[in-house]
Amino acid sequence: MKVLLVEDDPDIQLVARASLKRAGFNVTVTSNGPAALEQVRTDRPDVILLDWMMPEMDGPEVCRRLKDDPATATIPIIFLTARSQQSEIARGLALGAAGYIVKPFDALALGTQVREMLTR
Amino acid sequence: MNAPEGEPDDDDVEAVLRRTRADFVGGFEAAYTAMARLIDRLLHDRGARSELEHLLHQMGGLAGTIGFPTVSTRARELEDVVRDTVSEELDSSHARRLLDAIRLGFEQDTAS
Repeated sequence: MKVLLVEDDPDIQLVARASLKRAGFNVTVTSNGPAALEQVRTDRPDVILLDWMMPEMDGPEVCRRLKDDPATATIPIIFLTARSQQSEIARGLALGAAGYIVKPFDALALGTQVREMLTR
Repeated sequence: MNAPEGEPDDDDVEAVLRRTRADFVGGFEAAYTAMARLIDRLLHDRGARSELEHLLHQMGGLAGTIGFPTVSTRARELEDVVRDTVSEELDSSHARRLLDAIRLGFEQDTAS
């Protein structure tokens, strides 16, 4: 299963990537929203793990664009973010996200957590 | 605080965590100094405010994930102040105290 990790912090990229690979995911990483939109169109992932706060284009805008496009609307998107206020979680889910994982996250269990969200 | 890429153990999550923790410890003082300088510029420089918020946001997310829970909590507290306080009411002395609380949290987390 292919996962696209969209995250601008290189340390979080490394930790999350290793955790996802441990859970059996094939992981591609991009560091910003525009690169993520391009990547989705060239190599469609099975799930997207999306940071909220990024330079250039934030996660909610990336999510909105993907959900507005019929070609990408069905790809599950899970926010992986330090934004943890209820209003922010509600906003993410209202945009069509399949789930919401709050940072800090359990590095040893992230991949399993993503799998569980996909099977709900 | 960036870990080098392409090392042989990049797929080993425990090894990645060990390396990222070591990098975080090694880079903490520089991060603290950079944030202290941004606080000094906070009242006069909108760019400093957004840069400080970004650094705190990253520190809050990373620190808790790699085993520095107190740093994470305290970075989040300062991030909230920087993000939610209107410019005219930003108190750099208060921000500096919260930054020092992050450093104390770092000492606590590294000692435990």
